[in-house]
Amino acid sequence: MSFSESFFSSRFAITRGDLESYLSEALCQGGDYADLYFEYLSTSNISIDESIVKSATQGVSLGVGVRVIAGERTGYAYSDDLGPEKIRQAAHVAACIAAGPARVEKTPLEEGRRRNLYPVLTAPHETAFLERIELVKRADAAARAYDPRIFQVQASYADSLRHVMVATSAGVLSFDRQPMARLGVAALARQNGIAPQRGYAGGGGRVELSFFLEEKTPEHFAREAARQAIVQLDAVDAPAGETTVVLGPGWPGILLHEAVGHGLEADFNRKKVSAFSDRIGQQVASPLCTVIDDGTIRNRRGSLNVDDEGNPTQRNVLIENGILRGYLQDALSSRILRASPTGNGRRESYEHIPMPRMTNTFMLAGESDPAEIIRSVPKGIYCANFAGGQVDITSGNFVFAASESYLIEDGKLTRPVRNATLIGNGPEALRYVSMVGNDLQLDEGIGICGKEGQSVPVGVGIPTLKIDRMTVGGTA
Amino acid sequence: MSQNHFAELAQQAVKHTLERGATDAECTIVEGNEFSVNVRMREVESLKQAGSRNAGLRVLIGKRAGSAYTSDLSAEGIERMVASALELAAITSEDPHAGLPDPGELGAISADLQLYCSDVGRIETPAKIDLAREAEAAALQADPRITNSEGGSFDSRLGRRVFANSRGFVGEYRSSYCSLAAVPVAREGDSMERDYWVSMARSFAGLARRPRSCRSRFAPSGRTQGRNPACAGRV
Repeated sequence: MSFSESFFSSRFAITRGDLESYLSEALCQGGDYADLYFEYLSTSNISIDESIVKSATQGVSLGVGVRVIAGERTGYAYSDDLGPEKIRQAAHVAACIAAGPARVEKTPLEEGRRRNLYPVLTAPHETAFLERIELVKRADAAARAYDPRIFQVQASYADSLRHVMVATSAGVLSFDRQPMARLGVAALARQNGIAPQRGYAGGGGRVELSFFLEEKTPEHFAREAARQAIVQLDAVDAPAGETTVVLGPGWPGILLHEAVGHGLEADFNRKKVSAFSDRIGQQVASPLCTVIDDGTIRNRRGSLNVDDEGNPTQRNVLIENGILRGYLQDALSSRILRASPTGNGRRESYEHIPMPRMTNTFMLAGESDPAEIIRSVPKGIYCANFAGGQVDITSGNFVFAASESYLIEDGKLTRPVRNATLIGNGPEALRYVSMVGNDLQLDEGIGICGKEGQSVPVGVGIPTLKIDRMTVGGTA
Repeated sequence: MSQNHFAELAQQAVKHTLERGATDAECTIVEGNEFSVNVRMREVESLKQAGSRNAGLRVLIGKRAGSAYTSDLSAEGIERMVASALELAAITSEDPHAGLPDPGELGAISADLQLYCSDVGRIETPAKIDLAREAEAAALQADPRITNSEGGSFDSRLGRRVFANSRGFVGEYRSSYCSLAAVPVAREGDSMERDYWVSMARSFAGLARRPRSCRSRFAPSGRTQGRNPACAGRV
């Protein structure tokens, strides 16, 4: 597909000349760099509650964001109207950040090499609504059928199709079509004398609708949500104190995302407010740990052909055998740090200024048999699932809520534990990793990462990990 | 755009939806203007200013509901929104509890809740930047161990919400908001801590200009969750 066949060119008759003229307008007061981000987003949401499809919503939002960078300063404005006058007005507002004569040499816009990591011919968003409604109905039925103790089920399905186009004063011109879909199921279980317990499962990605019909069906997520809720009925309160923690493969990788990932975002490091600032080349994890952020994995939720600044995503090694190797860069931070962009400049929408963000963040597999890892623990906690977590990147302190965990006693999983919280410090936690499983798994495609008020889809993953020392804060 | 224009637009959308076969409909139109500036280590770091509008529609066909939204308020955009909501209301389930309030339950509060104060819209950009600068400077001067900062910031938002439904209600209100914040970073040896001070108010006059009490609020810089997408409409 060439520019003239691209979405914004064909649908809104935007020409290269227009883009170049808007960029010139943005730089009319000076500045080092300007970019335009066009977005056309269509979304659908369907939810079922009490076995009734109570609501379904679809909608469209479109707009363009104009950014001007002058030194370390950023000016930003946007318009939800793609008319030339409105875009020029936004460019003019963004330009106010800069003062002085234009310093940027005109670079002709050039389309980058194109690839497609999500070759989805028909996006789920483009399929018949009735087919998609069927997904939540099936999920509801399957979760209720799993066990008579399941008494309430909520399932939601959401998809989107986003068209983006980025043009920059550095000459980058890129466009992309980004499909996304996710299905989530929450189930509540009850039993006499025990407070209702909740289970949740979900997944998706940049996939076709057939993903939910053939690979990860509504029944798959429904049974998993119901299973978790039922398991929790027998759970005991979590012990508090320092103990050995084994993290199960997949979604528990959220711990990696919080404990390490955020602290490696270049904006925090350039400002030296991260616990990882100035530590490149230092040992920040056990030598068993190699941590990767990879935006190029096919069909994954966190993947992008190009980031929201028009740079191709790539596979970035953050920690190699325990040594800190690099940060996640966006255009601004990489300019200031004189580093190469890493394809991690992301934003929630055209209304938002891009920042360095993660894509799919995971630890490479090690050599240990997961069963052997559990056998090696005389006393500890095994965490199979997390509800969520958060980090203060300056102190490095993080906290997590485990939604499914078990006591490990004499090398065996014994009783389920209710809502254990894990507490730790980013630059320290991974030093205590003593065994890494050979079973790397990525999560099923459900993660939403929030930073400074902006939400973006991400992926996480780990193999089974043994962490010798971690604080468990008891039942939340 | 005049306020009457949005009220009219919302009423028209409702009327149009009923003509197309809906039993009931309600339409919301929201307009907002936002401004934010962050000053870090005494220099302006970012400045953002923009306005946006969007419309949302909820439609009932009997006991079945469907919703749609759009940021395109042209006649064509509204028409697409109406068609989208109707399409969905035709295929969702009957919900015995779905429905709009009876006309007798509708009404307006006569008192002014002071959700909108015009002084927020009157502050000039240089004054906003100065406030952010002062907030950060106060934090940087508080203690020699405050050696770094994520900045001082001033944010403001002006909004208007118009609502009309098929039971004869049409109403609107305006809102205003402004906030002033500072995020200093303290260092001692190898350990670093950040904390926050923020004042938020609906009127500019109501904003605290300096910390009266320094209550800390834990606002994590990064947070990931696997359930309940916080942001409706985004997957």
